[in-house]
Amino acid sequence: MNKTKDLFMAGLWEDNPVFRQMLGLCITLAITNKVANGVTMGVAVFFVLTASSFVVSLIGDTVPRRVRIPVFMLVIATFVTLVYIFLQAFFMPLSQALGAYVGLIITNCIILGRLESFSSENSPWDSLVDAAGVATGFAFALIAMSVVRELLGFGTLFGIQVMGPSWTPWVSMILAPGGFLVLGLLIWVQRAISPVEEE
Amino acid sequence: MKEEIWMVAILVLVATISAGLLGFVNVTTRPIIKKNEVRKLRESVLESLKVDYTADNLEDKFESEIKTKKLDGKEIFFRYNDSGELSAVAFKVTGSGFQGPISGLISLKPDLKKIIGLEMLSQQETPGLGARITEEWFLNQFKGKEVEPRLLIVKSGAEEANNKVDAITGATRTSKAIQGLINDDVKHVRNDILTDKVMEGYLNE
Repeated sequence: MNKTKDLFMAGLWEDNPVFRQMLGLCITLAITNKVANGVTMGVAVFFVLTASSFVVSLIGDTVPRRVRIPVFMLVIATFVTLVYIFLQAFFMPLSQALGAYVGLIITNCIILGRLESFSSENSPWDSLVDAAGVATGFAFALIAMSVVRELLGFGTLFGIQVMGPSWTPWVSMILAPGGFLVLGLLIWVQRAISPVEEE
Repeated sequence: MKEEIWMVAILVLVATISAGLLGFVNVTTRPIIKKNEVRKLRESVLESLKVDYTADNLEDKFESEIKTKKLDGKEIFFRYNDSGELSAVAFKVTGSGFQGPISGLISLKPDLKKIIGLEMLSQQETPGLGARITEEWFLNQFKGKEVEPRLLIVKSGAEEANNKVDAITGATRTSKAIQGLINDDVKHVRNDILTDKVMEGYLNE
């Protein structure tokens, strides 16, 4: 039980994919100017990462080392496309909101990274826990960033006006420079709370 | 040698399973997706032509309130008022955006110059930037604007005019794309499809 918890917490905090491993930064910078975007992306990545981790942990031993990357990519792309078709057929409004994210999920290096370094060499259960932890960590990072950026850049949260009418939105917050700034600050905060241990 | 064959075999196997699965799901869900798209288009038509409807009577309302005609391969939607006069015309406007195709539905007064409303049907712009073209505040701006001589999407804060609409901050390319596709498609319909002569035939029900 403790091992499961440690595994999950490592992905969520100590080895947070964004703040510690510096992975998936492109997506993180691009979409975090609204909280709703962060949540949507977080949920989508959670599903794709756990599902493909599970499959890869089952077939990991069978796949020859030299073709593992193409095989992993196929597994990821299959799940992403399945989700997309499924949403289009049964959850039309959601699929319209998600449209542009789909390609981004396939190329998310966090997913490939987990499959390569963890799932292919561990049991299905451990892989699931690890994937859930990392995905939650990713969602946490996205939401943390988007709360700051939406609040300052639009004066809203989830599209609801929070700041008073006299609030002047910081337009740069919703653009790329604001993304870099907030990312840097949050990395600093995260490392101040749990410092990196020098070896 | 044996390893090479094994490698190829595994790749082929995984690719086949993946393709088969996706193919199967695609074929089984295609009719549903098609139906959703038609429904979305009809919703947008009713929405932009200001027809009241509910989820249940959408199809009936569409049949009774809107006349659909296919002219030169383009679907045009006509709406007539109670006394049988043409009150609005709607059609799709499409073009390429910053990251992919954008399609919307525009409705105009019978003179094909004044905009009644604009709805977005599909787009793949950057979430949070270009994708904001689907937001109410952006689309609402188009109401009552003139497409003649040209509709302009300009930086917010510019001098107001009846053919100017505020652009989206940080999404200049998307805003320009919208400006282009509205002007081009409306002009095309006015000059090539619904010319004054053709229009005469549709002015009354």
